[in-house]
Amino acid sequence: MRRSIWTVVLSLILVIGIVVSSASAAVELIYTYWGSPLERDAQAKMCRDFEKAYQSIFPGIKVKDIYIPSNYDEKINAMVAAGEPPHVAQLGEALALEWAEKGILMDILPLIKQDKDPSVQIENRLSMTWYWYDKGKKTIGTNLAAEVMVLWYNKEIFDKAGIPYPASNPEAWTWEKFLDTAIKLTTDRNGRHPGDPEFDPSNIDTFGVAFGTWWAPILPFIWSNGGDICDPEGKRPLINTPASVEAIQKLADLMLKYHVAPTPTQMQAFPALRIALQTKKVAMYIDGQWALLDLGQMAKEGRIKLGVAPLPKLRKPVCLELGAPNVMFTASAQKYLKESWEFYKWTTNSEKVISLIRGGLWMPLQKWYYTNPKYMSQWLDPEVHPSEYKPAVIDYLLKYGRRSPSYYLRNWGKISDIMYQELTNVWLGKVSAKIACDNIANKIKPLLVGRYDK
Amino acid sequence: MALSKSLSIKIGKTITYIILILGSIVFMLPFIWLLRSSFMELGQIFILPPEWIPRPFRWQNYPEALTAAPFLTYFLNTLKILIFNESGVVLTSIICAYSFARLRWPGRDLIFAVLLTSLMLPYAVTLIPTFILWKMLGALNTFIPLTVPAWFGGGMFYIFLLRQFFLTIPYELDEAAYMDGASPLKVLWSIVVPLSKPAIITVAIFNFIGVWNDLLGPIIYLSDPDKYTLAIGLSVFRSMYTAQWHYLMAASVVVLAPVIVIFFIGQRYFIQGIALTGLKG
Amino acid sequence: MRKKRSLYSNEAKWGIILALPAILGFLIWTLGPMIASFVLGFTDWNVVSTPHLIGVGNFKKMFVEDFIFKKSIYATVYYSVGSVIASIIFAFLIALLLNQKVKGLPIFRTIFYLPSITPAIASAMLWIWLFNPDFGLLNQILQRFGLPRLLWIYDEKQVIPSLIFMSIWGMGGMMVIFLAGLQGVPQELYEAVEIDGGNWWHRFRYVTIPMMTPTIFFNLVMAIIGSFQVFTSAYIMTSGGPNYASMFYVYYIYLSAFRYGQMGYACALAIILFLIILSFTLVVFKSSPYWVYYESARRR
Repeated sequence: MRRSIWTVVLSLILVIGIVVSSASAAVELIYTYWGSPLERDAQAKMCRDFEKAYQSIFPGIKVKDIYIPSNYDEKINAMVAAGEPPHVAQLGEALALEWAEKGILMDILPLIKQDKDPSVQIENRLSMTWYWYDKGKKTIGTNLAAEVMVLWYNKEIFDKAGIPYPASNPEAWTWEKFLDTAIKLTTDRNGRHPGDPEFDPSNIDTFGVAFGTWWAPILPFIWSNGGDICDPEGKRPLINTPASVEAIQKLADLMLKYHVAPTPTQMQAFPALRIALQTKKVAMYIDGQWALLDLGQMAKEGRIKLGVAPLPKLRKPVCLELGAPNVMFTASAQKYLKESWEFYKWTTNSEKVISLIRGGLWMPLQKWYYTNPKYMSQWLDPEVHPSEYKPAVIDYLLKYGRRSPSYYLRNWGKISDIMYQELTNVWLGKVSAKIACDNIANKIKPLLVGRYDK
Repeated sequence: MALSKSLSIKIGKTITYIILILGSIVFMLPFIWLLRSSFMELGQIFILPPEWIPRPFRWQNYPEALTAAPFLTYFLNTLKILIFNESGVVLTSIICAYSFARLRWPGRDLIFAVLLTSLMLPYAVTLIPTFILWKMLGALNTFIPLTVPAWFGGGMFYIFLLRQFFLTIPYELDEAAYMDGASPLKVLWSIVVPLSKPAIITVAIFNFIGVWNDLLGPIIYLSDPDKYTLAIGLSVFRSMYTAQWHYLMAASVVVLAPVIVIFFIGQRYFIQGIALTGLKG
Repeated sequence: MRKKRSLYSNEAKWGIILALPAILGFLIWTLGPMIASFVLGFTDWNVVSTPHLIGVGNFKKMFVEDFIFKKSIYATVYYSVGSVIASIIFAFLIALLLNQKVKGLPIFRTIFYLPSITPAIASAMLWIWLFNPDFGLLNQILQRFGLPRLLWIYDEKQVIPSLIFMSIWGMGGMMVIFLAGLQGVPQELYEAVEIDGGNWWHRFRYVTIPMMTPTIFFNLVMAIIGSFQVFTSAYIMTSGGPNYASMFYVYYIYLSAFRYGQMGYACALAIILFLIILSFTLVVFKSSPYWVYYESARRR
């Protein structure tokens, strides 16, 4: 009996407590994101920092950061469909603009115009990183971080072979020099190089270069050769024009003709490319800037002499910039517009996640990080970022940067998947680049229905 | 004659052993691969052709992996879900299967067929409607979507499985019990369940593994990191840009271990002959 | 006699009561989403905006324009037929072996079940090595026997047979069900055959097979339902390639729903899948009176 009274009293207290606390409940913003444990920790900390910094302006404000390590698209779709989108979220580039057009994501241009915060002004962030839509009149904002495709290399292999490092100047780093370097660095089991009549392509110890066959490592070369996937209006395929085909064929030739690059099946011997680079299975490899997170750590521990270069140019240098946007969801952000906006700015203010940037995973968004030496020293860690990082990555990006089609092209998800599928047979040497590109052109024709920003 | 018979038995046994041992090697491969990877440095995991001895032997993958996320919390959450889910599935799937297998009522087989169609749509299209349903029921971010449905038959896979087994039991046994005035529940409990132990154990094992490894359900329905489960914990090691394979493998081994133990214990109930002969004799 | 009749009227009542959890569960959680998916298959829904009815537009697009649809139907049916047959036979044979009195039985049983519980990602990494044309174990074995090397999952024609071959490895679940089924085969039936002078083949043919038909029936139906919804191998190992040769149907539904933002189209695709699975299942069900033997059959 006594116990039951206590139960009643306790539950009453509990109920009252809940009612009271919900009555005075302060705003709780929801932020969803994905990433590695490192990104999780850094972003969680960023949220806590925000709570602390804004306690005086928005008393009691809380950020509920939901870390979704897998099946992100399913979850975010379900949340949106159920009418409970987060306030601010990381979002895959394939869905972002489609949702923006439908009004699900917020056009933040009016907010930017009213705000004096320099970190969010259009002209203060890398121009490539803005996601524009509605003929370029609206924007959902920028990436969470900038990323570019670069060429990583192991300096020790170069030193040992007595070959000069790749040029940091994109104009000087030509395809011919690149191919020549790759040939000299490729060695079979008996120390022979491609071109030697006794070279044994089935027993290669060190590959000159390696690259993945998804769109990001391929596209800059197509562009560099003067080709493209489609015309600037996004209406007509150009993937089967001679310039595009030639670039793809040249990449395929690296694998099949010169044997200086592993084919996709040979690549499987090293899914962790950074390890291949460190263990000298590969001398150079083309990958995202983000690889620096692990490579830089290895460099810091003295396990690799790391170098970085721009991608070699075919005709003119091109630097591919890419990344997934951080966005505000209209339905939820509208309710707490001030809070959501301040938080959004916070998440895309590189200063707040400088640890991830200094660690090598991300690149900053605000231009002053690229031009002002004072800011540069905040994120360029000499132990992590190789000495030629500035000319080879920063200047390369600033001068030759071009944003990936994911920023503007409609149906990009489908188009890039079709390219990937059709090109698989090129890398295996079953069809020529010309045939595959003709197929791609035919198949993507109905999908080329213009751009979001034009 | 007798000699040749015992000889042929011996030959048969030998062949059986040879097949089993060769097969075991092949079927052990993924686990051995997992186990050896869990002690390796990231770099050694992918060397081709594979190396089988970790060098250096990195046992610290285990503590490092298990401290990268609050695995104890994840384990307790998984356990909570498991207890509620498993008991519901075992209990209600038996009851429902019994009805579909051994009780006659109008429309039974048609309803069974209709229920079976629930397995024929992929999750990709039912996910969002189901999620909205749970939102309307106010059960998002709780364990309810992961446990309560288990108490409603536990899914047609298990009901169908048990139904098939219940159908193999001779009906004379039920009739005799009914003659003695037993109720259907009594028949279920005293005749059908004891004779179907292997099938019930199978359901229990399958569901245990299913809940233990379920990633999609918890990811979709839970939002508080302190409600996350083991499967979510494992997925942390594989992200968009980097995969920490050595940690993934180490944590996988730890998560897999209880499953192996459960199966090892459960399969002991698969002993031929205990069922019918034991009871009839 | 009267007692029996009253029992039977009670039986229907009990039957419905005991089946109620499953029926309610279906009505509460499954029926609604199923109907929703069916209706949405006739709309242009993209999750975020209001769906509009577009009649049979999705189906027209599917059959007229969509080259991926055709490829994925072919890949999925091919895979299903192959993997269902191969894994049922294999699982049944292994279960027979593991039902004998051999030493270390619990260990053997656990080992044969292991691939089914090893995380998919770990087994996928292993198979990627086994299939590798350059360094893979399978090609090394072929070479040893003087056979030509294969491209396995890297060839449009070989990828599906390769994945069927791999699916045999994951037959542990089926094997366990067969094992459970074998426990129910009455020992005295075997003894009867032996007394009549029958050998192992007679025991197998006239006792094991007929007594196991309910279990075979179950595994067949579930294998059909499961194999048509194969997803993981395409998702992790092949990305549906090369050149869409392993673009399994459910993987394509997943891509359409969550990557291409075409939920309505995905639902339409799912309706077709539903109809395919349903018709295969119905055929098996309709055929069952001719080959499935139930001890309690005369009561049905």
